[in-house]
Amino acid sequence: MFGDFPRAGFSHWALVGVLTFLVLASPPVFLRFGRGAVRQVAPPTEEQIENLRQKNKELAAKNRELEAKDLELTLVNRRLAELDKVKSEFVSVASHQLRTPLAAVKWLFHMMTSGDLGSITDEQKYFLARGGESADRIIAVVNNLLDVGLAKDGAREFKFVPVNLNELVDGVVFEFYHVAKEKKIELAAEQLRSATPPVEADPVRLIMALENIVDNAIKYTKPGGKVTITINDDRINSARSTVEIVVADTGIGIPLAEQGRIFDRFFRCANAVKMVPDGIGLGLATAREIIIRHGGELRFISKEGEGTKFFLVIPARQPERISKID
Amino acid sequence: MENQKPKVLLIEDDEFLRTLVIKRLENDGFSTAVAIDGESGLAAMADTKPDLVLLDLLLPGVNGFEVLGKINQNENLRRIPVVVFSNLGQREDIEKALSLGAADYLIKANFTLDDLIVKIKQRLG
Repeated sequence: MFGDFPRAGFSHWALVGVLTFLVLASPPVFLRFGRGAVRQVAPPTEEQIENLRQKNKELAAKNRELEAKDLELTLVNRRLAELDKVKSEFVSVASHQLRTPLAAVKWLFHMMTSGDLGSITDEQKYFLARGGESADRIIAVVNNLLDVGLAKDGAREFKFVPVNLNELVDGVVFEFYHVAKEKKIELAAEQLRSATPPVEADPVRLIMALENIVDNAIKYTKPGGKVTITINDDRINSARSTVEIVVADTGIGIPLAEQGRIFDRFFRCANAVKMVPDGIGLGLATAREIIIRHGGELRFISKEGEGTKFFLVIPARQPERISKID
Repeated sequence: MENQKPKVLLIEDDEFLRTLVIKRLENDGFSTAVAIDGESGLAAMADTKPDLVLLDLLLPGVNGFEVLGKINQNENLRRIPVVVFSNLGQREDIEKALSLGAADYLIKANFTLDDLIVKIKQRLG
């Protein structure tokens, strides 16, 4: 059993001596494993101990700091959640408080205009109809302001579901059919050639975005002009699978000098103000916010006096992280 | 023939809105009933057995959501279509109302009373 040992052949006593020696000689044996092992085993110097104590103290301090930060973040988070709730409540209450009297005014004008409250002269009818339109405009402003609030709400507010873009575009065209016809503007949607799989989108928000763009296109195009909505799925099979809704008009266009500002809230181009004096400049800001929240982008090309093309580019699929939050 | 007219129960706390809606409904040949809060609304629903209920959501006491919940639990009341007619318009409100069994959700300010009549007539076939 001591065959490997050079002194294996010694007498019993000698063997005991060797064993003793081996125990005593333990540290040198470690040399075979390298110098590092020795260093670890060697007793630390006072200086090293002091150094370690110091480091320990620093670590403890950092730990306390982290704990404090953690608590701070928890509190900030809670505060943000509270603010979010307050904001949400504000939007809810504001919508209700503002809309209720507006609804009354709107209904009253409409009822009087249509003779529900007794017969009226043509002149009275004309003025009452104007009143009704004004009420509608205030309501549109209130809705628009609230929509911006909604578009800016947290990710959990967006609900991504499979959406058939052909149907969505059809719906929007239908919505604007009368407005366009009254203004003698040709409004048409060019359908996709083949069946495209549904894209993952928040239909309510996407419709809102598209309506804002189409509304502008009709508003800022003179009678006899044309507004065309096209769905482009050329990039659906590319690495970053996207689909585009293109809204092209033959309208007044966006002046080059103002093209950098059109997505700013409340900004309106000079030629737009001239054509439609009472807009509020939130439509594009809202639309852009919505498209960005889809992980897409809202681009445009425009030439003053010739027309504008808006591209609502949205990814075909939403990344897991977004669809999972709910 | 009074009892052949379709009957609409309006649960609405705002007096002026109530007057306008009732006026419009009656002009269009509906028979009407009103309630000014959730509790009396539920009672009126059981009493008058309307063909359709127009329900506001922000009501004193028992609110519209609670009214929907109670209707939903009642075998007899559940059969009557309830159209929410409110100025609350957040998605959560709409989804909550629909999940509680509302047949439709109309935001007052976005509809004229003509639109409302069309919706009611569609609903009643």
